[in-house]
Amino acid sequence: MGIQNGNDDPAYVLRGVRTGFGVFLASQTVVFITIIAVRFLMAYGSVGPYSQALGAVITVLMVASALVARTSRQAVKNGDLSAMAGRLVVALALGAAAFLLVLLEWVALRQSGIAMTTPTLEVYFTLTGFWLLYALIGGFLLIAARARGLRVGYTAASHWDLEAATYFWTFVALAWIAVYLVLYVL
Amino acid sequence: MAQRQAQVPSPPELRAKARRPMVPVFRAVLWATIGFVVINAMAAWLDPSPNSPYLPAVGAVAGWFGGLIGWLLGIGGYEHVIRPMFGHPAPVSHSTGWRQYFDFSTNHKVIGTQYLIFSTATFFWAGLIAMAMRFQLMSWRPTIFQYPQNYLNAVGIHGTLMMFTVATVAMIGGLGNYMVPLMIGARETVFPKASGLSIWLVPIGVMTVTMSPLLGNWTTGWRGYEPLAASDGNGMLFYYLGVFALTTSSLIVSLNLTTTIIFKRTKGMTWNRLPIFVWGILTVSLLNIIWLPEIQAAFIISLLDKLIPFNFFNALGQPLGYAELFWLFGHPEVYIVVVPALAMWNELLPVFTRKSLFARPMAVLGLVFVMMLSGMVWAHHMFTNMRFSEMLPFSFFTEMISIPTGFAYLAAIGTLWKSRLRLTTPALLVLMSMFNFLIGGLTGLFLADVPANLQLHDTFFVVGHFHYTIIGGMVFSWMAAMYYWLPKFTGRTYSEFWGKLGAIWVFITFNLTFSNFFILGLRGMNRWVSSYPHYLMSENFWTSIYAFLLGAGFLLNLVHILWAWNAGPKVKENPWEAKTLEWHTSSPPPAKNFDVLPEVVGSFYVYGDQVPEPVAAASQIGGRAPSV
Amino acid sequence: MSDVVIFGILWIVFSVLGELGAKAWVDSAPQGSGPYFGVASNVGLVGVHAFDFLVWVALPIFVFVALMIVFSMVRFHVRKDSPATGDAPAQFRNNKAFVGIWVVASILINVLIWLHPNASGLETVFAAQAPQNNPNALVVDVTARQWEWIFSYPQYHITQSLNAAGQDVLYLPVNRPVKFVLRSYDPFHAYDYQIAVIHGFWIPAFGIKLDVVPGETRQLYLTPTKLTSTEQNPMTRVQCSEVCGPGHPYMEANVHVVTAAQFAAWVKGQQAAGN
Repeated sequence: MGIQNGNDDPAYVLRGVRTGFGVFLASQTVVFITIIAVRFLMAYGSVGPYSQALGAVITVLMVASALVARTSRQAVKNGDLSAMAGRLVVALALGAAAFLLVLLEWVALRQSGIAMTTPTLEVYFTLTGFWLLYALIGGFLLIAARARGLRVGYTAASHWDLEAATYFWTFVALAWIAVYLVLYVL
Repeated sequence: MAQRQAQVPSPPELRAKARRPMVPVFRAVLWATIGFVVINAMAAWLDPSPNSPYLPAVGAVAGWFGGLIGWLLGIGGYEHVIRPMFGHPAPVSHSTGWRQYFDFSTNHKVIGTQYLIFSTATFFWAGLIAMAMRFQLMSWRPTIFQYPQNYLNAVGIHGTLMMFTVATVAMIGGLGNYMVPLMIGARETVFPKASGLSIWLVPIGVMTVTMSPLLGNWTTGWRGYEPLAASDGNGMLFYYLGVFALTTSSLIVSLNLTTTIIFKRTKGMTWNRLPIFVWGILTVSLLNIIWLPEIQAAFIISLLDKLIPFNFFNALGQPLGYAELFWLFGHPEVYIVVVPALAMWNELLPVFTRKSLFARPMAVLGLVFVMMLSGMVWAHHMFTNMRFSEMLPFSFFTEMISIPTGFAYLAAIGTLWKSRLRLTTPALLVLMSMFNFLIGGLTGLFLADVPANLQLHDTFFVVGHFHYTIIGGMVFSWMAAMYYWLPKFTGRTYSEFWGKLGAIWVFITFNLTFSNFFILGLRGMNRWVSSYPHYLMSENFWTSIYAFLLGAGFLLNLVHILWAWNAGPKVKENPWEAKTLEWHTSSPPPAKNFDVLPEVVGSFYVYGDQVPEPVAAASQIGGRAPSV
Repeated sequence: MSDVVIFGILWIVFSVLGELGAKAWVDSAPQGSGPYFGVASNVGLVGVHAFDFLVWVALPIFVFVALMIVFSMVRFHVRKDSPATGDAPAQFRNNKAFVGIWVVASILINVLIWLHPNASGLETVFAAQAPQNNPNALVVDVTARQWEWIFSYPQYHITQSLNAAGQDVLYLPVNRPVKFVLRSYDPFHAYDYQIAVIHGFWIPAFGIKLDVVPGETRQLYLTPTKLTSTEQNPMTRVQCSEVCGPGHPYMEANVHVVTAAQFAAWVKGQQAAGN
């Protein structure tokens, strides 16, 4: 790790901020690891009565959303702010669809008459509930990053807010993939 | 997010923003109240139940989050974080003077001081609760706590506040925030805004835990054991939420300080030259980053267990699952408490012995290995309910962790030998801390031994053991650090007479109080009881008397430090002739810490007549960096 | 060198004195059970012997470090009237022999005390828990509820043993193995699975405790070795050791360890009373 005298060089400062944000995201994986551990403690490997098709659709939506969100950074590097804004809207729409589909599954499970306290459903509601919370925060960050970009204007050298929001959104997508693997596949 | 402010100059707007309509704390209280009431009402509307009280469990939890958000926005999060995130310019003006301590700040020294204020206030508040508990225990039958649940509430609040607001905060959020940037030659931290908000999670957490009995008694103590927690009163919910706020605060501190230590070191501050205290903060920060999210997740799951209610941790689920999750965090937690203290010893001893730090690599390795082993010992809190096959490995790792812990003693003893020890108050407190922690550590040998543990577990022997490690190890070191850095904080110093008197008073009364705990435990005094068999009464009575004297001793030190802070005699810039960087600037340090960033050219821990100064800036600018 | 010699002599002297004091403490009750204020069961004896052994080991370590602190304060501190303010004349940053001995000794001590008394003691405890080593064991079903200990003796058809005052009471014959079957649930509200919490089954005089966990059945074998009772020694009581709610302090029951003949008479009385 290079040590700078004065350490005010923007690229260096950015590296620090980026590393810190990465450590933050890494620490948040612990949250999911903990709940996944609880899942195996409570429900072992059992897969609950939730829709496999819906789960697959949500996964596809989230992967697409994260990929689109990441391309918004490329748009900024190309100096095209309106493309950045447009792609973020697409990413948000895909993410919102995934979010609503999870809620739909919740409603469906509540309507199915199966007790919420069945071990598989307990862990389903808990794990997806946590994910919904992170998705909500991620969506807020994307909206904020988009608004900021349109108001202040990102440049290829300076668009950390967008970068952070897309990193977080990627984390949300990866978290969903982990949730999907644990709840639907394993 | 939004670490750099928007570069849009709009002076009139800025000036308009500079005049806030209300003092931040009052605005925060108002917004928090609005947040709480609105979200509570929404929850009550969405989840109506017949005959529900105004504050149903779901409403209390949802409302709390509304209150939390209102509080953080009101304290300054709205202008300083949320609006800049959307591209609006952040206000450039900050409060000055005493007002800045009641406001959102990005200055790590102000934030560190705020942490110290809240930690100290909470230490005395939770200490007062301990005094009430000791008053109850003077008699074998109820006196001031008419019902055991009231007493157990007090136990839980005392433990929770002491752990999450004092033991893991004072030396990390407080001294760490204040001193780490100074000690590594940085002008600010990497995440000043997050840090400025994180401190304001502390009062919310303290208030939440303190007020929790209003929602209903909870009787689990600070560990919140399931399934009791799920069937206990709704105050349990505020325990989870209060701890959530406090741990989030510590998590932000750790993220900020870790990144700062990695990226903000001045020229020449290599890993080999990093001060021991900074190593201590770095290792505990890593522990925080790993384990705080774990306990937060476990607590939210427990909260759902109680609120929905799910069956995770009751007879239908895994009652011991919670205990595993809790101690998986809970044991690293005690190293989060004590590692900064161990680091503090070896930070201070070379200064006061005028002798090179002995076996410095061992001292650092000790801290790192303690950190790495601390995640492998948790189940030694569960010897009375685990499988036989698990007893051997967990007792093994538990014994082994005393080896790296011993390295702190190795370095300290090697440094003391043939030194020129200046027995000032901080040095005395470090030696006392070493003595106390020695007893705490050696009694740990007995608890790590499974056959003996099966008798000692859940008795006052354990209570004595961890008070020896936490008060004896951490609080004494914290006091040493406060006396040591007092000239740095204020440019003033304390009275050596009153400092020594305070130290000796606290040392004697502490040992009288808590050595009795061991005997009480061996005689069959179990934990979490407000009433006990009559034969234990006279020993408990005297333990309480010593405890009151101990409380008075802490108060004496507080009054003395406050006096010295405001009116102590002025002192020269570097009264201890210490070598680390925080002494290479004026006292108190200017807003940006250093006018000229110092360059490190040698070790801070090498003493001797021929040894050159470890800091180059001194020679370049003729003596110390000029103060502003 | 002289400092080392003086320190060494002081260390040995204080360690010997300390060990003599420790011996007095250990021997202050029969069978070396001084620290436990006496022990009345076979497994408790394992624990107290481990405790005693650790006292022997810990004492010289304690004396070494504590004496070092005091010794430095006396021998190495700069006096107020001393004009010298400079650095210490001796400036060593390492001492391979000292560090080496320290590291090796701390590893050895830790491994040794893990093997003995820990692993060796556990071996004894595990053996004591094997059913084949407890022939003709008296079975006592222990049910922990908020907040009461309920004892039943299925071999004697005693559903809930009570004393004359109607309180739960535990009678055990001396020197006969006992198998405690520990469960936590509320037999009076068996439908409510949410009120069962973790309790701790502890008889301080027996020197052992075991948690009672809802949803699980646990067993504890031990043999009472002394005639005693709660009235004679208040440490002979069943005490809940794990916090279990407001009633936790009061979750106790009296214990009587009696002769086989007295136990038989007591069983007859319980059966006659229809308990």
